[in-house]
Order: sequence, then C-alpha cells, then structure tokens
Amino acid sequence: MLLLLSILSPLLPIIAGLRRRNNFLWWYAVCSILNEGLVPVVRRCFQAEVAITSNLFALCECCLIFLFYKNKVFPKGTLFYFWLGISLSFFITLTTFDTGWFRLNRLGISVFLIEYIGLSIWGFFTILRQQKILFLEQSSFFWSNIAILIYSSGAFFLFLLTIHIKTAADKATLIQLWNTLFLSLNILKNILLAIALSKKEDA
Amino acid sequence: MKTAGIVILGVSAMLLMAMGVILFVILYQRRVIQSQIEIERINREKQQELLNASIRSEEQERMRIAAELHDDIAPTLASVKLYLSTAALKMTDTPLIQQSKALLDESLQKIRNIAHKLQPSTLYYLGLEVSLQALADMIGQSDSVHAAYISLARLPRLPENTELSLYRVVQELTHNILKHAHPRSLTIESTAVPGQVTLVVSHDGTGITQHLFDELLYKKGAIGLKNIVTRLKSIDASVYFEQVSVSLFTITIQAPIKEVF
Repeated sequence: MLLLLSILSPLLPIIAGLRRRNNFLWWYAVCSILNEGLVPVVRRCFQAEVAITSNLFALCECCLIFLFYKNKVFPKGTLFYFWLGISLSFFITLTTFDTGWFRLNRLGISVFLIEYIGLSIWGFFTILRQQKILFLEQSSFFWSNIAILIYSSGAFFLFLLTIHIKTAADKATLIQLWNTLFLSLNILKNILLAIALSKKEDA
Repeated sequence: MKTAGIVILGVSAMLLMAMGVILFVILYQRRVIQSQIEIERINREKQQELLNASIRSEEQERMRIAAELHDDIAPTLASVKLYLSTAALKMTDTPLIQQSKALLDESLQKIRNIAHKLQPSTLYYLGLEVSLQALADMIGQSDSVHAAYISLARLPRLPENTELSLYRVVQELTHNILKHAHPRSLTIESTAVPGQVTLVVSHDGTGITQHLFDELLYKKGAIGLKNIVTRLKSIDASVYFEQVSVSLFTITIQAPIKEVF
C-alpha cells in the first residue's frame, strides 16, 4: 500500500504544477514517476534487481535540483557550473570504477543528499537575507526548500546506514524499516512539492 | 534490533534538525515582519506629524495675512475714505470723489471677505455648523447660485483641527464647484452620529465622479484637490464623489470624531 502510494505520489506535484511546467521541480516530479515506472520494466528485462535506472535518476535529480537553485542561491554562473560539474563527475567516476552502473551508488547518492541539504539551507538563508518574501506560507520557494530539506535530511541517514543493513543479523526487518521510512519520506516530499508548485512563482 | 534503533534514532535526529532549521526561519521571518510593521507605524506617525505641522504652519500664515489685512490695510483704507469724505465737502468735483469712495467701499468689503476666508473667526468661536451656514449665505449672495445649508443633526463642537480641516475642504469644494461646475443650486448638508460626522455637498452643475477625481489627483496641477486629500488625511477622513442622477452630483465627506464639549 505504502509502495503504491509512494509510486503514485509524484502525480501530486505534476497535477498541482501543470501551469508551472517551466519550474525544474515539476520536471523532477516527472522524472520521479518515470523512474518509478521504469524500475519494474528493467527488473523484468534483466530478471534481477538492477539499479541502473536509480543511478540515472540520481543524476537527473542532481541536475534538476541544482538547476532549480541556479538563479536563486548561486551568485555567479561559474560557481554553479563548477559545483554541478564536480558533483556529477564524482558520481559518474565512482559508479563507473567502483560500484558499477547496475548497483546502487549509495555513497554518491549520500553526497548528493548532503549537497541538497546545503542548498536548501542556503535557500532559507537567501530568503532571510534578501527579504523579498514577506509571507513565507505564500512562497513557492519556501515550500520547495522545506520539501528538499526534509527529504534530504531523512534520506541521507537512511543511505548512510545501508552498509550496515547488509551485515546486520535482522536484515529483513531492517530492509522493511528502511523501505517504510524511505517511502514515507518520498510521499512527504511529493506532498510538499505539490504545495510548492501550487503556489505562484515568487516575484 | 540495535541497528533498527540507530536507524530510527538517526532519521529522527536528522528530521528534527531539519524541522529546527525550518522553525528558525519561520520565527526569524516573523520577527522581521513585526519589526517592519513597527517601522511602518513609526513612519506613518512621522508622516502624520509632518502633515499636521505643514497644515498648522499654513493656517498660521493665513491668520497672519488675515490679521494684516484686517488690522492694517482695512483701517488705512477706512482712513482714506474718511479723508475723501472731508475732501468732498471742500472740493467741487464730487462725482469723482463719490466714485472713489464707492471703489474704496468695494475694496474694504473685498478685504473683509478675504480676511474672513483666511481666518474664519466664526469657526473658532461658534463652530462648524455656524461657519457652514455663513459659507452658504456668502455663496447665496450671488444671484446666479441658490445656496443653502441643512443641518440634519446638531453637530457637536469638534477638535479645532477637525473643524478647520472640514471647513477648509468644504470651502475648497464649493469654490471648485462654483468655478468649474456652474451650478444653479448648491446645498451643504451636515449630520452626526456618535463617532462620525458626515458632510454632503450636492449641486446640479457639471460634477465629477470618484473615478474622475482619482484621475485628476494624479494629473499635474490640481493643487486644490490634492489639498483636500491632504487635509482629510490629516484627520483620517474620507471623500467620495458620486453622480446620483443626471443633474445631481454629491460629494460626501466622512470623518471620525471625538467630541470636545
């Protein structure tokens, strides 16, 4: 039930943001649902649990979240491209030469999640510094930051601890717990993104 | 079970930290909003003080000019008239002297009127009601306009600033109506309910509506209309222009009041 809700939850921001298709977070929601849809297809093709779609989705997620923050928190374009380049290079290198594309690059994803935490905190700092937004609850950017910060904070710890799951005695319980927590976070993120995309673009 | 506990604890801690950041942002922003509201309130108060000061100095200047006219120029002209009367007894060219005396009488009357307009003493001593009656009487002296004042409910004495501002606004409005609207009749009505006084100036000339009034306010010039707005703002009053029928225009002024006595 939770899995189904999690798979379908990206529909919320997609529907809420139909009129805001120029927002990168709307495309992020589209990528999420495509990823959720492709996972069973890939599983059937390879007759095994392969993480190529998840790795590719992690790259897309990184690009879209960075692009979302590009004009909002990055004072200079060069810094944005440099940081994005470094992050993508790190993930691609690590996946190619260490984990491989068919296994989930958890370390790479954890690094991405730290970056998202940093970006969202930076986003909050920008809101407070610029004081362009007076009523936060009406701001799309504020809700987007909440969605990204909560999701990244929760998921970061989950990804960080997955190494221990493999060696733990109660592996099955832990996997179930991991799934429950991650799916809950995913649903919460999509609800918050739907709120963000339902708001008007900040002036 | 130990690892499960760590996972739950860790995720909870991370989420709590995230919530802490969000809460901090919300509380900080709330504080910023409160301080902005406070700054706006102080600015508004300062603006109001400046407005009142400018109106006060304008009134003081008017009083000074009125006093000069009334106490200095008018007696001088009266003396000239007296000399002319004495001269008329001694000289033969009496029609010329009579004409000069008539012109002097006219000048004296004009000076008195100007002095009265600048410093309406009835307003200070007898209040707004009597002053509006006097204003209507003065307008009614002209043959082309029939002017009347109707008091629907007795007006109490109001703070000096309120009475003066309301009187000046009605004075400016009637002046504008006579100058631009060319009415045949003009009525000033006043009524008061606890906490509010309402003045209505109605006429059958070529009036303006609220929309046109708002447009005129932003045009170059229109000093009279801008003065009306400034005066009304100084006493938190409002004005509304309306076309009631084809040939009836009204201007309604509503002011909050605190009775003095």
